[in-house]
Amino acid sequence: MSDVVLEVAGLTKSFGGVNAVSNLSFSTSRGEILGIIGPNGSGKTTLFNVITGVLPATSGSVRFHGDVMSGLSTDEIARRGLVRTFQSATVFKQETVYENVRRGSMFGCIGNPAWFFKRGVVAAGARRAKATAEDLLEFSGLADVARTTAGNLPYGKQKMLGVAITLAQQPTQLLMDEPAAGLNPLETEAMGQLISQIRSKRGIDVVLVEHDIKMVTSVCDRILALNYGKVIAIDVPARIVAHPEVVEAYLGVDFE
Amino acid sequence: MKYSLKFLALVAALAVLPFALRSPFLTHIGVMTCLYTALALSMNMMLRIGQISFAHGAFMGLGAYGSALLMMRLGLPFPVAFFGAAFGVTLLAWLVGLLFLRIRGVYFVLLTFAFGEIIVLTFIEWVSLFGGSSGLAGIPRPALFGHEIQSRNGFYLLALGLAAFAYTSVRAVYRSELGAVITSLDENEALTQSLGIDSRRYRQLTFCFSAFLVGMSGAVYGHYLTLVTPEDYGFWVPVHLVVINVIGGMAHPVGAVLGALLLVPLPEFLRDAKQYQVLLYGILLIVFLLFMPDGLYGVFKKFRRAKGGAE
Repeated sequence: MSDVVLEVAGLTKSFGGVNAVSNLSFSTSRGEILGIIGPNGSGKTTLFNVITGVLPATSGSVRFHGDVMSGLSTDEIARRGLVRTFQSATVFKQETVYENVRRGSMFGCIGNPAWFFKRGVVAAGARRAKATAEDLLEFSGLADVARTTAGNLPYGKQKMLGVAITLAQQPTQLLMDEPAAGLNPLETEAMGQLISQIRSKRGIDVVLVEHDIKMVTSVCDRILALNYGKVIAIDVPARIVAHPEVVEAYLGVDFE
Repeated sequence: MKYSLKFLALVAALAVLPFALRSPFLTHIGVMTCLYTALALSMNMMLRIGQISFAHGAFMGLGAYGSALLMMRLGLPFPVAFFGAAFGVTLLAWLVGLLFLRIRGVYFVLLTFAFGEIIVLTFIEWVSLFGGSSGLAGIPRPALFGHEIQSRNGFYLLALGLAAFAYTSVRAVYRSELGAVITSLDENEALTQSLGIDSRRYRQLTFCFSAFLVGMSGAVYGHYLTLVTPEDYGFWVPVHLVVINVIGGMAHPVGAVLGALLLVPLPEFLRDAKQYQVLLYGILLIVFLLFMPDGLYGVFKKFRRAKGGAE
């Protein structure tokens, strides 16, 4: 693999005396899909929250394409192309599917209200947002429900929409928090295909946190196994599912 | 017909109304309704970002005292005093917003409530400037382009202009990308931020614009009554504004107009039955919250949809 994209070094996040993330280090490479697995409470979502600036790190650093992300605000990090999806379907429920994706594209160029005064920014952004939204609705299989109010979509479609909204920002790195959570097997498969296409057709690097081990092993190039905020192992899927510590902590002895 | 033409026609019709009706009482109600429309619209913006500001009574008072004092003490012409007061209030909102807007929900309500009480206390205690509990009397009439506005009809036109400005600007904001950001912040702040929106700056902007509208309304209110007293700007002002929005409907700026049209004339007509005013207010609120949670606007919308479906 070539150059480093996301570099997490010695990252610790403690709440009171408990380390949710403990001296965690790993890095991802260009073109890679990295999966993160671990039991509930092993610090996966906290890790995403720290990387995206929602929570401040207690110590350690996050670098993205060499730039230090620690200390930047969530919106600034997002505008630099490091974007996350949420565990539960997170969409603007009262808006149409199309408007949801359009906002995903539009908001990046009006992040600061002062930018409204830059000439042509809003108009150009709106034009691009329209094209982006149409393109992404097609890409994520939501074109036929474009005019539906997002809150009325079935849950699986809402999660797809959640991904489409984030893609509209044209990120270079996507952090996906349990993309398959709450989905039925069919929807999970569709989500898995979408993730593969995000890399192959859009050239976006992906880090995903997931419990659906079948999906993780089929989609990811490497898997990072976490427990109590620490790395147990980081390796290719085949070796991870055979790793004795991972099996004990997470997969269970019955896993085959 | 185009919307802007329809709107202008409506404002023009409303503008000539008091000259046709020739009723000082009705004109007075018209002035108050227009002022409360502008005030309720400013609160509507705060409700849109999900933060009820109890500082709005104080901002209104500062607008009223500010414009009056700038004319009385410094002898400034009305337009300068008016905008000076409004921008002063906006500046203050910007300063306190830096601190207050970091806080959400009930805590924001309490904090702005405390701020409002401090300002009202200042009006009462700083007698040499604000005139104490009896307030300021003999506030000069405003003059525009050399014409002193003395008659009720003149004030009515001023207040109508203010309400029209408030409605047009708030509607324009909601229909723009700015409005999309504001509603997004209310619907899902975490998602909005993760899409690259600096939520603090947008809240700050909304708070300041809202305060600007309140400051202007307060200034006109003071000049109209020719008397400003501290108790007019206590916590009942924001309560009243929220109730107008709830009853009128928060989903569209027209709700604030409908709410003001219904609620502002009520106490004026019930002047002889003061004890029933609050009771009626309470009953109305309960009825609306239980049966018409989307307010008058919601009822109109439903009615229109039902009619449209039948055709």
